[in-house]
Amino acid sequence: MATAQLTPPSALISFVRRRAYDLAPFVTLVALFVFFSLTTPSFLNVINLRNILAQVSTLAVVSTGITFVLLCGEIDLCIAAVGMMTGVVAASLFGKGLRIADGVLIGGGIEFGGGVAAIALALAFAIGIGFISAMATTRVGLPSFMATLAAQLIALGLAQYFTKGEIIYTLPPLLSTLGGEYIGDTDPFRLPVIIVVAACVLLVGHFVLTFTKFGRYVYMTGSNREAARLSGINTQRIVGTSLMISAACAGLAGMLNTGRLGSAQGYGLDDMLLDSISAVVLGGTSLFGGQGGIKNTVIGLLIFGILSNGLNQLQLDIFVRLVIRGVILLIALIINVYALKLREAR
Amino acid sequence: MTAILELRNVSKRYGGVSALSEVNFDVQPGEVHGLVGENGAGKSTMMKLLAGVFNDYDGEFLLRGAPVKLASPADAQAKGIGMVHQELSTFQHLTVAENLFGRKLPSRAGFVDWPRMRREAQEHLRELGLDIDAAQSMGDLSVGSQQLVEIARVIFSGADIIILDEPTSALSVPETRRLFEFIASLKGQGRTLIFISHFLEDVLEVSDRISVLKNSRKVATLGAEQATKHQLIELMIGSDARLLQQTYEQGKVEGHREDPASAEVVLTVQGLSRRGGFDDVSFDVRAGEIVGLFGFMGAGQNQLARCLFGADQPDSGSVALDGKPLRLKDTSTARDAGIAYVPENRRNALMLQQEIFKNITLAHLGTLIRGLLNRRTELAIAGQLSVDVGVRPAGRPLMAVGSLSGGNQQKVVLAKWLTRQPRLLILNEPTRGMDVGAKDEVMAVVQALSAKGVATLLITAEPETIVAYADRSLVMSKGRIAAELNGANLSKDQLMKNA
Repeated sequence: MATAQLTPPSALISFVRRRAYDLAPFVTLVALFVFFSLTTPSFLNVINLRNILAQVSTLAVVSTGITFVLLCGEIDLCIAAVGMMTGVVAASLFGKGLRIADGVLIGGGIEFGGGVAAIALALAFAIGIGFISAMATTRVGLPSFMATLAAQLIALGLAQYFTKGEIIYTLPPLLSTLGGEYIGDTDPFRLPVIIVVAACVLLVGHFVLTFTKFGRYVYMTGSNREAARLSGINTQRIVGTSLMISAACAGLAGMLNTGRLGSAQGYGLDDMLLDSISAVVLGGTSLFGGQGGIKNTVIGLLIFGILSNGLNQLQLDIFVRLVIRGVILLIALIINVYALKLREAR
Repeated sequence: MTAILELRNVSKRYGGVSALSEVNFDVQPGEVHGLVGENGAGKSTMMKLLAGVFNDYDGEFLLRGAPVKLASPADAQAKGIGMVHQELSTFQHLTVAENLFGRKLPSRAGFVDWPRMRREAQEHLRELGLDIDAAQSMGDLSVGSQQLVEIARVIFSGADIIILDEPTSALSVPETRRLFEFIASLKGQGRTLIFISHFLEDVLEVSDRISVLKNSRKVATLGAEQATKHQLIELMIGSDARLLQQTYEQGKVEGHREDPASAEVVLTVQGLSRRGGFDDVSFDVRAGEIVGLFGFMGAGQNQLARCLFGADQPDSGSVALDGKPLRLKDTSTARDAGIAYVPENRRNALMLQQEIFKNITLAHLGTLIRGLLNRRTELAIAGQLSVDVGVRPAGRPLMAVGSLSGGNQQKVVLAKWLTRQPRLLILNEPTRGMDVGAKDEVMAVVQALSAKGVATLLITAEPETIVAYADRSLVMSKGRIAAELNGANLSKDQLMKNA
């Protein structure tokens, strides 16, 4: 029992090595928080902090899904496109209808339940795209990187085909409520509903990953795909389901975003893909699968939000901000790889 | 005549373990020299030494009469020693010509001179008497032909001493014939070959002289004409063979059970074949019986095991469990049918960075726990099982499996399959690389299961393990069941003779 004889400092070192994944992001978060609190007067106040949460809420919903995929050791590149497509589909179904070919419409005022039917149908579209990625990855055996790149084009094409470049302003009222309204009346006691929605999605994601057998299989598949398979786990099904969950989350995020902006369009969400993968990885979830989780994603989202917001407050040139964000992402990736090595070196 | 290659009093140690002790070995120019010995006798150490992989040994290495110290494999190659490994390292997607030239492609003005390369490669193959198209893609050739190209490649890069490591293990009978003809013609051209193999018949047929290694020493060099297979086996396993067998037989009495020959048949395999793996394999395993499956590396036993667990699909044949036909379309089907599989490599069996308890509950998680995961239940199940199989350190189910020793990791793999008692346990090299103590502990778990009526298929290339623990044994050779041994016939030399 070698660990029982360890002296306190070496026990600490071993703890740090083992938990480097969780610790590094947490330290980064605290450091950024302190840094911006000291350097910018407008950073540390309730309204700004609430804005940060609201700013990362859409991202939180997508990131929940992508966490599943990364934990499996795969990647999903179609999430932004799926988000856009779903927003457009929901708005069209609710409003003028979905124009499939000249003169052929689906729906056209599916107003039932404040747009619930339109939202559900749009979500089915998103899951359909996820199904395509899942089949191409697990049955055909394409790398998820390629399969989801193809799915991204399909989703993007559909989004633009349905809108023909127009902006749709009629939205299902439920989306406007979830994406754009507040609980409470007066500042600083107003809480954007989208923050509550994001928190719920994160909670459900955490619950599934931590307390269900499916969640356990996701971790085990990501840790060692072959060993999981040789333990009788249907790893293809686990990977496929994760890709579909990711697409569903992306679809939900896209719809919430239309509610937040007040319109749906076939472009403009491009940042969502890189931002969400960055946030998840910043939080310490391994790019190689099996390590991390929603707790890490929450920390990553907060780092991401504080960083964007803080850099804005510093009133830096917008292009300089991009460079700084790129550098910080690179550092996070290096830490991600290094933390893995630390663990394996034990 | 001076030897082209000679070792004088060479010793090599790895840490405290002696890998070669005071070896004297010589190879004459134009000779085919066979090298045989059990696993761990020192064959691969000797091979690495000759190929320049290491040079921190004691004693002298003479090449063409002059002492040398090889700095690296590249240095060995530059000095005319070429090595052809068992696992061919060819570039499947490139042409034969490109494989022959390797990194030194002929060029003109900085561009590859394709016509010249093809011409020279074809010429070289013709000189060696090989009828292979240099423009063909390597991957389109049979394994046997790829091997001939690989030999041609080392000759092309200047080798006149060629070391062949287990060259016949993956070859069919006609391919082996072709290789032997090629070896004979190389010998006719004055080249020297060292032929390392488990297949004693092949060694006897192709070699001029044979050296035998045992426990890191060279025990004999004899002319192949006079030598017999039996004699070689005696030399390889030596006088302690009988002693060992006695020890094991006594061990066997301790774990003795009801006569399994009358128990019901659990696994029936009939005419199972998979292209490039194994062919027309039929056997059965009864309840409470431990059936050995002996074969050297690459005999097809690994692919057979994977097919029996649904990880690969056979091309034809059938499998039945308890008399009921079973189509093993994936690993979940096999698991649900009550089949447990311990793979040949622990890296394929465990999530090393995950906790012990998660590894143990993984296989049968679906039936162990209803509804949501319950850490307390899981810890209780895993804790009990790790005590049962004797995982040390005990009582630490939250530890990462990767920090356990090899033997204890293997116990975790076994514990994983004990969460529900299996009907059939397939063990693939369960004790490889373990010391004697760990080996006994792991096998004690297996014996206990067998006593409860679990049918066990014990696959290994270590004959001692089979002699010690199996009730009877199948011998697999080149993808086929070559023999079935039981009773007095189940001995180490019979296993090796038939493989």
